[in-house]
Amino acid sequence: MGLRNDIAARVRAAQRDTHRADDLVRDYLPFIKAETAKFMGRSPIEGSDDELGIAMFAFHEAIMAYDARRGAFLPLAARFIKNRLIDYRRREARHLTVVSLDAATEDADGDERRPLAEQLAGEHPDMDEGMVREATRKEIAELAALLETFGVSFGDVADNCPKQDRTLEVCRQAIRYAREHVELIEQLEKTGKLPLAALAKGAGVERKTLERHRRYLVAMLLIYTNGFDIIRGHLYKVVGAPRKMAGGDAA
Amino acid sequence: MRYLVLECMLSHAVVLDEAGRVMRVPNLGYTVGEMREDIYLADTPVDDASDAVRRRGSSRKACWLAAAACLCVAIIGGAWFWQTPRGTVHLEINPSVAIEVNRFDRVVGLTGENADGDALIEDYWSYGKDAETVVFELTDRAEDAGDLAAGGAVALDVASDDEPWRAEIEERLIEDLSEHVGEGIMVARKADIEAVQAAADELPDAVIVAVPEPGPTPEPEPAAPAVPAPSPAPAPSDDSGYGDSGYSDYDD
Repeated sequence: MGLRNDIAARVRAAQRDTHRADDLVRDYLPFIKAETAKFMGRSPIEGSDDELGIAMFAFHEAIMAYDARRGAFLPLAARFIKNRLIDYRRREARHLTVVSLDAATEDADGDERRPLAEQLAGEHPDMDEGMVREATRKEIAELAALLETFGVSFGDVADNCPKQDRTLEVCRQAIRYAREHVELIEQLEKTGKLPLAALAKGAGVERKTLERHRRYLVAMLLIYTNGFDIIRGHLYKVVGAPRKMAGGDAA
Repeated sequence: MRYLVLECMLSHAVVLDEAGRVMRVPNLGYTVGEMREDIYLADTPVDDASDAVRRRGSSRKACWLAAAACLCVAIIGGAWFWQTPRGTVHLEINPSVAIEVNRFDRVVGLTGENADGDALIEDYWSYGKDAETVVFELTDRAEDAGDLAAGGAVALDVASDDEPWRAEIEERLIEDLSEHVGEGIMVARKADIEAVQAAADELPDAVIVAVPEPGPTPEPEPAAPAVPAPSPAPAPSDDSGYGDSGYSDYDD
């Protein structure tokens, strides 16, 4: 009973803090591996078997979904893991004919060749992928720090992101409007408050919809401030193809 | 679709797709800043799985329709089950009424079988009441209206295809109503009451005693000569023998 209460208390704490959730996953890794092994019929190899990553994700989902009034945590986690792994196996079965970029291939003589990803990278010798990734990582770290000042994490943004296409489109309209009216983004930076009324009125969308996705909108509008060119370039489907702005970096 | 990995935790990663969707996905060895196309999405985005969503939507609609149909069948079936009479109680006081009773012994219909019966049930709500209660209340109303008094009779018959039920409820109602109205009023089946009345009709109305008719009055016979009454014995010596009659006019 004491152990059960202890787990329940830890799960409750983890529901409020992503890092604690990760700590809980780390502490229960033997349990997660055991459940994965039951499904796979062998012990999963860390860093090699995707099933272990899926199982850890399922364990995290179980943490978020757990309600102490409805029973013990570990049976719930075991069920989540099993369901996710079944889902994963079914999806993978559909893509058996797809060649993995990381898989080693063989030539006509049966000799082993470099993985497909390396072969493709070799076709663009001028592209320094490492540098691009480093610059991207830097931008992401800056964005995370900026979001932190608004009390928002990437996890929060993911949780607050619209799931329905229609809602996502409404948010995109607001983002497009803000991009065309830079003063709104500046107002957000300056006051730390999302100009919901102006966005709703200007973009012609429901204010309530924008309110429901406030944290997501904050993150997206901050991306359209100065300094996040790479991320902004990635988001061309939100506002259309990237275009050159006067001054180079303005949204 | 390409995904930019924004955050990597032990159990999950946060990725951003080109359409602006930010998602938590299983971390299958990703690193922050990585741009990937082969992200495993645990929750398939709605637009990628529009067929699945449509299928789910239509199956959900089918579920709702099936549930609604079940509910309709249950409501209609229940109403039919409730409303169908199992038998009819005929109550004759002499206002006559027919009480339709369902299989829960509840009244589902009440009609007057004659003008007095219509008058008796006027402004009376019987629907859903227990059959026994309705029989009691109608009898009380008839008593109040002066249609039933001590020495009267109430005929109660039950008609139904379900013979065991008919016999059971008829016997019970007669017994209970007899208790309710008291000994002064007879409660029985109509046939029994008629039998009692027929037996009573067969009895002579009164006992006729034959009295002989008197003949002509005979002539009176001539009276026999009067025999003088014997003289009274002589008075004692102190009696004057005159009596008081000779002094009747004497006035003191």
